[in-house]
Amino acid sequence: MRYRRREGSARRLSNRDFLVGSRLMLPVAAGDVLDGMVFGTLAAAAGLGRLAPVVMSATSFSGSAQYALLAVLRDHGSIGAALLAAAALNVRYLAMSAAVVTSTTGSRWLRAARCLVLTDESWAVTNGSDTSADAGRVLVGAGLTELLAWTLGTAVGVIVGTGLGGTSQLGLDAAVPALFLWVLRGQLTQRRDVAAALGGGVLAAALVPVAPPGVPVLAAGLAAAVWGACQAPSKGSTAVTGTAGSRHRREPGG
Amino acid sequence: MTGIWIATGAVAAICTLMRVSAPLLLGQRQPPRLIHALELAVPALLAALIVTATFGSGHRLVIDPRLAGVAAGGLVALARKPLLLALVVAVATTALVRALT
Repeated sequence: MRYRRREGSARRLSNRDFLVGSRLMLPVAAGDVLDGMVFGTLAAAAGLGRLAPVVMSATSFSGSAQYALLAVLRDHGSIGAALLAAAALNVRYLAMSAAVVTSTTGSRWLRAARCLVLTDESWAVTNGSDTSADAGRVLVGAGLTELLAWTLGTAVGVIVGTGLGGTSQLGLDAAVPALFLWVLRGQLTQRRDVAAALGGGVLAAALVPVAPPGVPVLAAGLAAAVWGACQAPSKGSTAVTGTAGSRHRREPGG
Repeated sequence: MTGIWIATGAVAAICTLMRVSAPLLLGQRQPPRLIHALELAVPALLAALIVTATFGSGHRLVIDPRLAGVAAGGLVALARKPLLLALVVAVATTALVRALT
């Protein structure tokens, strides 16, 4: 309900929220260009041609799922295996998109459309943005910026290849975990947030050696969600109704 | 060649499905229990992403220069400095440690 208050200047604010997301994503997008170049180079080398890898980046927009697909196509494996991998890798988006849509405005279809550009990074940026911004609009700004960088990088990769050893040579591979850490820092306001974070981190670490990629993160989120749902206070005893997700921790001043 | 395009379309469909299912199913509803569940799921998801992006290397957990960069970026985050500074410090530290080792 807190979004009702500012309907008068909604248009100006919506553009601002979009730019907030875009600006926060820029440093990470630089790494995405390089990552895209590496993917494009490898995909072209695997015999996928020049167009298909770029279309993949623009439509799947998921590095992990695309590498799984690349491996299957290169080894002439079944498409079913690629689909299963893509589903397992990205099922965490269900929880992430749910967290975004509980703190944004708009119709069901508009919210779904905004979530089309959801990635780990754009979702994290949305959580890290100020609560006075509309989560859905921040997500679109951040997500489109990243989509552009990733697709552009892929196009460069398939056409000219890459002389670089990828993000790991430059240290850019540390940018993404550093982004997640920066966002997490702003989320830890109560003792149980810290407990959930520690538990999630430990669970994910324990599962990495034994579970398929993507599952450790999903399991951490699910376990904490179950814990949170079980702790839900009885109706009416809390002030959270009307705001949502976790972004209400830092209320906008005034 | 056709197989490549079928696979490309199918994987794109799966990725899209994972992104839009929750908003389409939830609509305007905001069940209190879901809100409470997500409150704790968000820090847990972030922590899990930090762990996998910092230590993950396929199915193994490794300690490499990424850790130094993430730790340095974490100090910047602790000091409540801007995101850009945290990222620059993390990337520069990782590159430096990698160049020295």
